Amino acid sequence: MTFWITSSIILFFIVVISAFGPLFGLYGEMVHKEDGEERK
Amino acid sequence: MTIPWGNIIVILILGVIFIVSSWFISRKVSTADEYISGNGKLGVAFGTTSLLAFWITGNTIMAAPEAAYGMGVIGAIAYSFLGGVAVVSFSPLGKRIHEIIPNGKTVGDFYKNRFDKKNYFFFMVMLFIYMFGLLMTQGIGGGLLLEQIFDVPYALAVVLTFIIVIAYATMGGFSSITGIAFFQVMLIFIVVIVVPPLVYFSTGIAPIYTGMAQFAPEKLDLLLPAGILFMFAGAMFAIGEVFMDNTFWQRAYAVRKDKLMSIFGLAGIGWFFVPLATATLAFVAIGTNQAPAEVNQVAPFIAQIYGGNFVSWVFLVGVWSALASTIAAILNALVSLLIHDIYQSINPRADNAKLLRISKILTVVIGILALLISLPKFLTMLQMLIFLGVINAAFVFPIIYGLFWRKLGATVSFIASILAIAVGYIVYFTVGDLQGVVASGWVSFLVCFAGSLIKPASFNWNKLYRVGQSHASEVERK
Repeated sequence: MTFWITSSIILFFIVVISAFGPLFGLYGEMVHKEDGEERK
Repeated sequence: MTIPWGNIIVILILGVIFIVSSWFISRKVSTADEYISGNGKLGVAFGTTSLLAFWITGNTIMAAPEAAYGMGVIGAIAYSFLGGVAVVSFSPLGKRIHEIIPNGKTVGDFYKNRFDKKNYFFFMVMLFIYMFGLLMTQGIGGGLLLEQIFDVPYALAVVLTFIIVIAYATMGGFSSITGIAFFQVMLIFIVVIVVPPLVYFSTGIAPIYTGMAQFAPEKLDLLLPAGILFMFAGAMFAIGEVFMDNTFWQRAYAVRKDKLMSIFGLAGIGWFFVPLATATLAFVAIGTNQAPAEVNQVAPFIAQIYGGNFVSWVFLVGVWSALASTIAAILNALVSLLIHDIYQSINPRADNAKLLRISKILTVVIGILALLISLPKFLTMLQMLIFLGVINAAFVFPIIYGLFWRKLGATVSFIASILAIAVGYIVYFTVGDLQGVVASGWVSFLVCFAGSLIKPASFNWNKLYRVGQSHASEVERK
């Protein structure tokens, strides 16, 4: 039980960091915006 | 069995209100795009309530007290946490969707253009299985709920619910559903705001706490292991549901870009309080040592004892509104997928009038099909959700990395999702249901992350940016 609880908590934080990280520069490749603006 | 006409009349009155409102809204719907995905200008109020109306299901109101009755305080918190955090987590994805696929319509648009055909077909098959499963849980759950608690015969409850929902969802599609959702969420909030305080005014808070400490002190333990596992493994399948579900993608496209983060954030926070409030009714049952015949009836059981017939009817209105709004949203999301991802690929030259007509026919056909499948009672709501949760968790990382990370390639994503589902179900059947969801999520993460580093791709985001652009400019020209 302890194993599954710990792994579910770690996995949850990995999901949160992966989803919210880009707001703080994670992956560092937000090139679409410039592309979009260029098109306009 | 005597038929409870009072309860049926309450549902019929609500149904007539929904159908008339839908007819009124549908007069402004003239294009197939408006029918399946709205006009892209939903503001904070309608955007938030439309999300809440879909995400507050019969389960939210009924299963949360059940979780609280079984696991105590941590059960109530866990249930509220898993659904709320899922919607909030979608907010950065929604923002990104608006930026990189501004003219997309469905989650299929993303999968088709971000990955390759094998990913797209596999995802679509899994998505249809999930969405149809969800539709069935609502139909069957709704029927059981009305039968067990409000004495409406099962078949009559299912037929009545589906006929009303099909009627109003067919008229104006997405516009009607989001318009009526506002009204439905108000009704649901009346239940949440009125019922628990009425019960607690009658019982008092201190006696309930003392009673819980006396009859079941373990249910006051915030670190109960089963509750903690439910909280985080549950969050994993709820996040997977939200990320994969076309209903959320439709709303991400339909709301104003500048308000998207606030809309999804508010909806998640607003959702959190609904199951939390209804779950508190279970504490009364524990603290007064009263047990309902069926554990999922604990909330209306307590509401009726301490609130009488009036509160019982208020409960019926709230629960039925929650079911109707969810069924309507799933029906519309399925029609949107079928039209946009399948019918338009087969018949790309279909004109607007034809698309609108086919959309309406499909709403009726899927609705009737779901009604027929829901008639035999062969599953329970929460078990079905956890079973489908293995599929949901498998697609979490292909979707997140697919949206943000150019290094995730099509083959890695395909292997990750297939392997995650296979391992997830092996663990589900050999170790435990929630453990299966956790295993699926871990495999999805490890394969996507390691695969992207070992065999990095270099995806060109412009490919997604161009999706639907010619169609959008045609609409603008018209």
